[in-house]
Amino acid sequence: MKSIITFITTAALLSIAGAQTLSIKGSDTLGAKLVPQLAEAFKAGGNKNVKFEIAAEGSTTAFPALANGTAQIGMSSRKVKDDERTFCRTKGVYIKEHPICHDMICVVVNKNSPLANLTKDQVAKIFTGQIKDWSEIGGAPGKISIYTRNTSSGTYKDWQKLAMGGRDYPSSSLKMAGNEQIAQEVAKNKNGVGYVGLAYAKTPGTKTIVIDGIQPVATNAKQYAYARLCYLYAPDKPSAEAEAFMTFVASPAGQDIVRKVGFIPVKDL
Amino acid sequence: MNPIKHAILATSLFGCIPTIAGTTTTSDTPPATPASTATGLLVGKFPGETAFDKVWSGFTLYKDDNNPILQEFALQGRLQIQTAIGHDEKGSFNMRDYKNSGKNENVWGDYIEARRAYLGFKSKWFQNWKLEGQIDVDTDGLDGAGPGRTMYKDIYDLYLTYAPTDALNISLGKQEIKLSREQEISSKEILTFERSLVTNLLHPGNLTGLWVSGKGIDEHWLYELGIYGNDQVREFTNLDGGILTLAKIGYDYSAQSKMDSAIVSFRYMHNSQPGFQSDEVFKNYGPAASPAFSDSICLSNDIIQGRFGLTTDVLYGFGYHGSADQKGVSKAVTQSDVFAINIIPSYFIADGWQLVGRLQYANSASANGLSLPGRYEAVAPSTDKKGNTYTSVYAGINYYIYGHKLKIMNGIEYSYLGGGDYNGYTFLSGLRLAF
Repeated sequence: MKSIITFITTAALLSIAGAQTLSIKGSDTLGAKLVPQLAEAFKAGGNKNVKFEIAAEGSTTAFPALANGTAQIGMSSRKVKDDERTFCRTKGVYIKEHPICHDMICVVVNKNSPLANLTKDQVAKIFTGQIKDWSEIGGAPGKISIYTRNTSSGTYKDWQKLAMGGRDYPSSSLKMAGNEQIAQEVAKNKNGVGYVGLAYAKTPGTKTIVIDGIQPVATNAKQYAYARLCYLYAPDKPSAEAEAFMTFVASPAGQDIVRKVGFIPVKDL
Repeated sequence: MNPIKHAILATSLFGCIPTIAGTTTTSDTPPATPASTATGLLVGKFPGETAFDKVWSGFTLYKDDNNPILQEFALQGRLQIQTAIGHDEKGSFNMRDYKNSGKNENVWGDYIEARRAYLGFKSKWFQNWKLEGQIDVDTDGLDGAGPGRTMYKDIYDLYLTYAPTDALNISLGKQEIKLSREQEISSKEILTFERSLVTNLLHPGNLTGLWVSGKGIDEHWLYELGIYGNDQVREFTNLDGGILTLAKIGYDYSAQSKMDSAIVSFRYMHNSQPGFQSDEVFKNYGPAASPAFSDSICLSNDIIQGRFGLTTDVLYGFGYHGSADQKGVSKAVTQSDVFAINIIPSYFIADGWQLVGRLQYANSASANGLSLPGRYEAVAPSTDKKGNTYTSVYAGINYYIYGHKLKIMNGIEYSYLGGGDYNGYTFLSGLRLAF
């Protein structure tokens, strides 16, 4: 109840104030779809004076932006690293972590691939380059083309941790700027394989793979091997707009949008 | 100070230009702006949000994640300059006394010590391999003063790492050995000017060896296990000074404690030839003796929460009594056991301003088991510089211009040597630059 009153009060105060800019930077997973839709809903909920400035260039970009004061909120699909937190502290920014949703990272292949199921071991071997041809695991012969995120992405690191036992990608893997780019390349390449957030799992021309018998859908999130928490990070004393926005994200209305976009609300797991 | 030194100082101060915010796009309907980090050769492009970001990005000479052979090549280095002035019951001392104590190669003019000057590179190859290293730069040798003097002093570190997972990193080469948490924190990031007395007393220097390390095992555990040639030499081990082994195990309890970071760790170090000293001597490099301790242990705790940080080390060194080969001559070595507790709290009081404290208490089993630290209390006028207890309190304030990459430090330290003849304080001031 207290948070609702705070939210309404802050929204009312913001509505009578001049236009305020809220700068949000970081994860492509969060920033390409989810946060823009949350921003639109927030504006529609009585905060028309808040102008959003969203840059989704990877989780790694969130923390320098918070430290430099060019972002009021950072988006990250992984936890902050020690050196990132240290840099923020030396700039007078003491960041706080706000879980925003769960995500499931889905393995996607071309829609014409005969494969529908893989084991976790097979996934690890594909993405580390140990399995090089689809015929090695019952697919149509063809050299596997691996599409990954780039190194500034939190998903790039999370996938290594969740699916690859911390090992590295083969040098032949192709690094893409975002989830959409991975899905588009896989849709064009019959031998392509990549990983995308749940919100990008229905890209035309691709299909998702069942992992160890578990379909990558929200209702299976507890059993699915490649699920993770995603976060917003903000200074310990955020601006009024940032605080109001994060309160909205955590509210039932915000978490409904989380679900609609294809992520899993924090309290659902 | 000669023109080269002026140039170095000017370069270090160049970073002090004002921050300029980067440009971004504003719109009511926010677009996604994905971009590749495969930026290729960065020379001349200087990407980044602030002027500091742009300048420091220039040290990354090459970066392309999609290159299957070389993914990154960057320069690295550090320059740390400082001055000190102190006073004890017998009188005052300053950097000139330190210079005259045989350290003239480190001191610019009479008042500034080039505490550290390293220059090197770091690189990533074939996704899983890293090669990095730095040389110790003799800043006084830059102008060629004195026969045989060059900027090259010694190899500070140089090692190859195979890192297939976070849980397993295998390295071969030369590195600084880290028995305590205080030692483990790079000199780029330590909060005080100098490490604690017993941390330095037990420190075996930079050694050549093979070590494996990892973190994130079962989410929380971390470890390190290394074996090294015990001889401190200019380049790589001659394997004639015994073997040093170091084992570390740690547990990350950040999640359980709900702190930003909380890690407890325990380290054990064994030295097969305590007190060994190589006979390799060069114009601007003289090897230090291995610590005269057969075994050493350290229990550490390191926590960070918001503005607050606290590092605690409890150390114990088992002293060595026997003979040691020192510069080709067998000499008697006698060192009693030592115990120390070091507590280093810190707190950010404002943007970029951090208060730092340190409390040291050290005790030795015999009358002269502890000596005053070389920087700088050992150059005080006091006559008896050995004792059996050492108590010290440090209070400092650090200002971070660009994180740990460019900062100004100031501090004052009061120390008392029990069983000896020192009871005084030292004021220190310095500038630290790293890239």
